[in-house]
Amino acid sequence: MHLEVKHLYKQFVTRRGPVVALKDINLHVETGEFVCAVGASGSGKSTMLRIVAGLEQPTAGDVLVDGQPVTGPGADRGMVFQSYTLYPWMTVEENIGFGLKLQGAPIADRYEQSRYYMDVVGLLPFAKALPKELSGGMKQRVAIARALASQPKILLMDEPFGALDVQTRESMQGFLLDLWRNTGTTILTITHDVEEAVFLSQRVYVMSARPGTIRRELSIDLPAERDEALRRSSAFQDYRYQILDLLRQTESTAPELTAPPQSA
Amino acid sequence: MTSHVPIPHNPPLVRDPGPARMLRPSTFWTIADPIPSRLSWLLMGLSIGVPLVLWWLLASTGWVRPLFLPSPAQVVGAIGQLWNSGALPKDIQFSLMRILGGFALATVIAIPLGTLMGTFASIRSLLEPIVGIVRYMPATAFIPLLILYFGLGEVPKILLVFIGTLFFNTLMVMDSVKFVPKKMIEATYTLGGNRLQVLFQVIFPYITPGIIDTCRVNMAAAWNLVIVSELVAATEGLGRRISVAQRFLKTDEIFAGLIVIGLIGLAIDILFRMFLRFSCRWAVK
Repeated sequence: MHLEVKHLYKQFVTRRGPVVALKDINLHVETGEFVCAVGASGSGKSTMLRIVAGLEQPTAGDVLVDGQPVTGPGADRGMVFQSYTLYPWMTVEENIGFGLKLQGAPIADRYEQSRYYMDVVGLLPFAKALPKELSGGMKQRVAIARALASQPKILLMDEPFGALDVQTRESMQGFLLDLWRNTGTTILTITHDVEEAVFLSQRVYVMSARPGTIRRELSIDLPAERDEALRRSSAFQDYRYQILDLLRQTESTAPELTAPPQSA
Repeated sequence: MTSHVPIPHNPPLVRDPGPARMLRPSTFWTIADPIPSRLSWLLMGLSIGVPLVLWWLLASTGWVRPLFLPSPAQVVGAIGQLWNSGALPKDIQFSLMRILGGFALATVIAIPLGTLMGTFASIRSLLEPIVGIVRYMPATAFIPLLILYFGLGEVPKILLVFIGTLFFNTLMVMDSVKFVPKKMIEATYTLGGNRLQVLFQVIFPYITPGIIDTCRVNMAAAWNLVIVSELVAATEGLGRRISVAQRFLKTDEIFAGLIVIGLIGLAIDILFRMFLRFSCRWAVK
């Protein structure tokens, strides 16, 4: 698997005129990597991820998966959204097996696959539960399992834990790391949470806002085995402050970039 | 990062706020929360009981002439008599048949039409203007035309119910598609779903409770229309029964007809609610 985003531009036309949301975005993700794009709101990171997913079209530039240009959404790029997108009339099991159903897999395969992924995310006892009976963290696990059950080449995550409380979010981050190590899935996540980005990723793209650009690419050279104690280590904190400083700088430069032309 | 907008030291003093005012607790006037179920049952009992008692008082004291206001007992007697003579069951049967026929026809067309209009902005642009215009033409104004075209048989009555409910059903089904979260549709695309699958396997199941509720609400309009059509021209039916009773000054039978219509309407309403609970457990709180 090789994801490549090349010279990506996105311009929106609003009533006040055109707005450049993304400017010359270049990034790549390789097989088995866990990569985060971190940025403040308005950095266009969500738009970027949606373009990678094929849910939006870029104004210019290319998204390539294994050399093939992305022209629309497809099961090779699974996606987990911030808001809960589970089908409320389906049980956990049916939700997880739905991708395979859409792709025409036989019932037996679907059953086996959804059992397997329910086990992976620890929700086997809730196979027959409806989404409304689950907590927020459990819902996101189902969403992750649902995306993985289609066996995508890459898993795209849009602020997957943004709606969760702090404790749940931290335990879900640990869960996601375990899942990533055990399944070897390739993951591209966007987040505004700097600590989350450092904790999860091997590489981080720091994005600046208005227009959204990639300011810096950082390798996170922390041990692969990551636990809660790591969050307190100085190496971890160094990365955190480094990214926070980068984000702060981009913020202070932002007004100049967006200042309207002065009329004489 | 840091903006240096000077903040005034003291906010302007508009008036002395005085002692803190707090919202007083209330059971009866609770907003957005349920009331105790005993209170709820009591109020629901009053809702039926008070009008009934008032009616009985008005009729039994003789303030109103019996010709205009028969007593509850007389009306119950009239219902019993009409039932035993076989007239009432026949009337109910005919009225129900016309309603169900016209309404079923309207629903069968409204569900796919409304779903398509709600799902595809193109279909909406194509059909919304014409639906919007025809919707404002009162269905009852079509009666002369329907009689002219189809005579006095069952067809014009069924068609009246059909015309009168089709557009409301269509627009309400269309509206319920608006509540399908866009992210849910996008998630389906990223799971490999195509548009047809989104339509049939995501949008349609999602709006099913909305469709059932739409039917429940619009059923009342169907009743209205069938009674009007029978007042104009019919040999049987509850509307016909009321107009015949009026001709012979049988006020008790007019009341009997009204009450039977109300009770059947209520029964249908309850049936729809039960069907919703039974078929869409996920949507019931």
